[in-house]
Amino acid sequence: MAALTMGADPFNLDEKEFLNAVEMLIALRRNVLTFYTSPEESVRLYQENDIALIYGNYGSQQVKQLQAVGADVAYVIPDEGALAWLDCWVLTNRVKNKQLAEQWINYTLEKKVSDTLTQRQGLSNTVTASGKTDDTDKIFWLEPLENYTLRKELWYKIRSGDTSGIFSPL
Amino acid sequence: MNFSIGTKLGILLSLLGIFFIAITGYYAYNQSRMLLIKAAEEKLLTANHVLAQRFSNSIDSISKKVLFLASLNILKESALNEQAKLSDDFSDNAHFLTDIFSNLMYSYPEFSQIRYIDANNYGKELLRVDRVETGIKVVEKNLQEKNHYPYVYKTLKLSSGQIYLSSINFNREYGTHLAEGKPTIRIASPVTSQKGKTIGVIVINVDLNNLFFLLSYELPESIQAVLTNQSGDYLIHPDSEKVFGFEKGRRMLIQDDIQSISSFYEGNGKQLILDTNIGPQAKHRFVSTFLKIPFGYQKDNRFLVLGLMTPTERVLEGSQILGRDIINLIILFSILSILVSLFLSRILAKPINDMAISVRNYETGKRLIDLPTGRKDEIGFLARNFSTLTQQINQQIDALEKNRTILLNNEKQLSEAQHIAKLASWEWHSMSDKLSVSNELEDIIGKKLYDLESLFKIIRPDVRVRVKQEFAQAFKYKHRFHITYQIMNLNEEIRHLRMLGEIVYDGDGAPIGMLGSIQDVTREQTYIVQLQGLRLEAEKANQSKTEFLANMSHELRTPLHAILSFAQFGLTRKENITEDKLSSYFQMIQTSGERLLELLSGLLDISKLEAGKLEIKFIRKNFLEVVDDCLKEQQSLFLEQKLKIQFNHSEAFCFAEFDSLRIAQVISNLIANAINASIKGQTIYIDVQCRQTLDDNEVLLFSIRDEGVGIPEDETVTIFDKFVQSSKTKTGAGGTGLGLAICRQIIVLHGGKIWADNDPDGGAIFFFSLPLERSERHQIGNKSLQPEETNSPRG
Repeated sequence: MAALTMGADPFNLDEKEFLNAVEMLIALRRNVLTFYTSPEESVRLYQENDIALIYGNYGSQQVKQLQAVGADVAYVIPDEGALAWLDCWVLTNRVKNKQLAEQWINYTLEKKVSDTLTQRQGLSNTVTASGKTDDTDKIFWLEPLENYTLRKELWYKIRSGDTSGIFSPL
Repeated sequence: MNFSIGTKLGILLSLLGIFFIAITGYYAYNQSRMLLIKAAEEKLLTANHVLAQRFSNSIDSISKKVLFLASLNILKESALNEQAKLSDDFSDNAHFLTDIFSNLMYSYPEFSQIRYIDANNYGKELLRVDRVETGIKVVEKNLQEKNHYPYVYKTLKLSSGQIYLSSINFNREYGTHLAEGKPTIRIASPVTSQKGKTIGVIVINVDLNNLFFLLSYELPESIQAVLTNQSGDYLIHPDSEKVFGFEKGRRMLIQDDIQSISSFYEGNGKQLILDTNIGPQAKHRFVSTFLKIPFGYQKDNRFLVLGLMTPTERVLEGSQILGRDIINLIILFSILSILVSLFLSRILAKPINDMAISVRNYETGKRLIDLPTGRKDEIGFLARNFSTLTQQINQQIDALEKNRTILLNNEKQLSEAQHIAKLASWEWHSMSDKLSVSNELEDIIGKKLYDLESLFKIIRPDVRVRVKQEFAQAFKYKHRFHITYQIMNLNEEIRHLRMLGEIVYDGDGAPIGMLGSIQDVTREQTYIVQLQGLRLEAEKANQSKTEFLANMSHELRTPLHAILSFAQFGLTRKENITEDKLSSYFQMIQTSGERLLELLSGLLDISKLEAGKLEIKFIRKNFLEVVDDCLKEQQSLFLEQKLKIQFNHSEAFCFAEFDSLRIAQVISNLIANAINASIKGQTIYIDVQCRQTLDDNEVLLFSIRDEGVGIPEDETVTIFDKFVQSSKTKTGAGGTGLGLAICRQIIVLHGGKIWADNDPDGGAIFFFSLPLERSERHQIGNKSLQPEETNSPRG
């Protein structure tokens, strides 16, 4: 999110960009009420506190849950863009029961199952068009990170409440 | 298999006993299981309550410590940190506070962290004491901003004296403390200045695992504890994989393991007791209790759920021991009941068996021994009845025995009588056609008979039909059956049986068979036949005598009449007749007298012969000489009648032993007959075979044949009887009728035979044979004969 704000490649940050991102995230931390881990938690927090904006990490699924409890919320993609990913089924080379796996995939691709996915989880499916996005949306499909460990460690520290300038990661 | 009543009773009693013991045992076992489960439930519930109470108490206790810290005046007064800078005063106070924090940490091992956090400066930590591996550490560097954590931003909204209880989750806060990554409860309270402004937050982090370990260390090994939050997420669970699933992106809910518990979480119930299968596969059964532990302020309606579970198997371990004990008891009592039953059955069956043996060994005429007649129960009654019964039997047998002896004697006598009389009894039943006959019949006919048909079979065929008819008639018309004579054939012998029969009736008067006797009357019949023969002979003899007398009187009267007539003629006519005439009268008288004399001589001879008083003098002599002599004597007659004589003989000499005088009498007689039968010019043939075999004897055979009229066929035998003359000779030939009778007697006395036959060419042939040697019989026979002189008969 910081990289997008900076206009940098969100999956490949250089040292300076990291530093800037950490600073931005600390500033963000100081500005937010709290962080959440699950969509349910976000719903609960929304109900218990005065919250205007939620970073909808869980996307349409989360929106659906919030709407379910009566929240007057909408889902927007920032101008800076948003990260996106697809859930996929993958067959490995060593798959033992290929036929069964294929049957399962065929099953999940049935209209009834796909509709149920959308209906229950609020997720888009591959059978029916959702119509929630348009071409102007800035979508960054997930890519491998330059340094997962580092990112994880930094975020852990930021979340724990470390202050800027205390660490110099690189 | 046959069982005695005693055994049956014993088995029944044993089975009954075992059945009741088993029922009782099963009931006890079942009840014990129920009680054990009940007890376990109660035990668990109690433990649960205690544990929950301890937990609440601990939380309360910690809360009080938080409040105590938050209320410290040092903190209130030191709320000066407007610029996030500690005053020197506070620096001293800080040492004092960290000492308090540290001491508390030492005293309460479940505390992982105690902090004082600034209400400003993004929730900067002002004081922080961590539990680290080496002990308690006062953190002075890298203090962090915690504003975004609920224990800060929520507590800051509380008023003084209020407590914030965090939800329980992993401590994800970076640091060097031991609590990092551990389930943690944060208990916090705001610190307010004396002006009432909230200036900071006191937070005590409690390590849930440590806390829980401390609370539950007394729990037995078999009891497992689980703790969940309000949603059902496992916080404490024996399987560490299950806890804090929501922190790992995968929720582990108790509702997934125990389906029936959902309503408990959603409802108002405070406690739940379950005896159910738990786990994803519901493999194991547990007895479990669950309690809601209020968490935080009552208005928030927050709670945790504490559950205690123990495997039902373990609970029922006691019952298994009890079950084994019960089975042992059942076996023991079964054996006991079998023994008691055996004993009982023996008590019951022994006297019965004894009685049975006694009755089995009972011999007629003797008393039953060893009967328990002295007993006063049913068995004694039975025994006395047996005793009485046998006495009656004995009496009846005695009477029967007497009757039987009498009957046997009678039967024996009858049998003997029957045997002597050759009298058999028979009995026939019409329904079965079964015939029973007494042994005597077997003696009579030589075999046993079993039915009527075989009786009929041995009857002579010509009589059989009549016997069968009469038998059937007798049975049909119910009258006596009486076959007076009956001829049966057996062993090639002819026996005469007399069969008598009476109808036998049943109780209703219907005929069911016949009863009767069969008697061998063969001898009787033989006598009758013999008697009849004798009577016939006697009658015949009588008739012969009558005829003889008639003949005699006739034969005697004729010459006597002639003598008397001619004598009277002579007397009356002697004056008037010539001398010649008178002479012829005398001649007639003489002839008649001679004839009379001849007749009387013959009669005398035959009388002697028939009376056996004539002596035969056997002398060995040439028979041919005797024949020659006879022919010479008769030569004048041959010449007179102009008859030719032809005499042939097989040999020159024919010696035999005979009475020549008597045999000559026979030959002369036969020659005289032949002459009488012949007419002028005819020839008489005489033939003598000196050695001829006749009836296996060597004999001398004499035959004489004439050429006369012959003898009628039916007279060839009777001609030898007395006073019998051939019907062809009677008229003209004359004669006494005694000649051939005398001849026969003489020849018979010699042991020979005499017979007559007709020659096919005409004329009669007379044969006689003489044995060459005297047989023994005749020698003996002759000695008894009285020697007597006789005249030689003629004619």
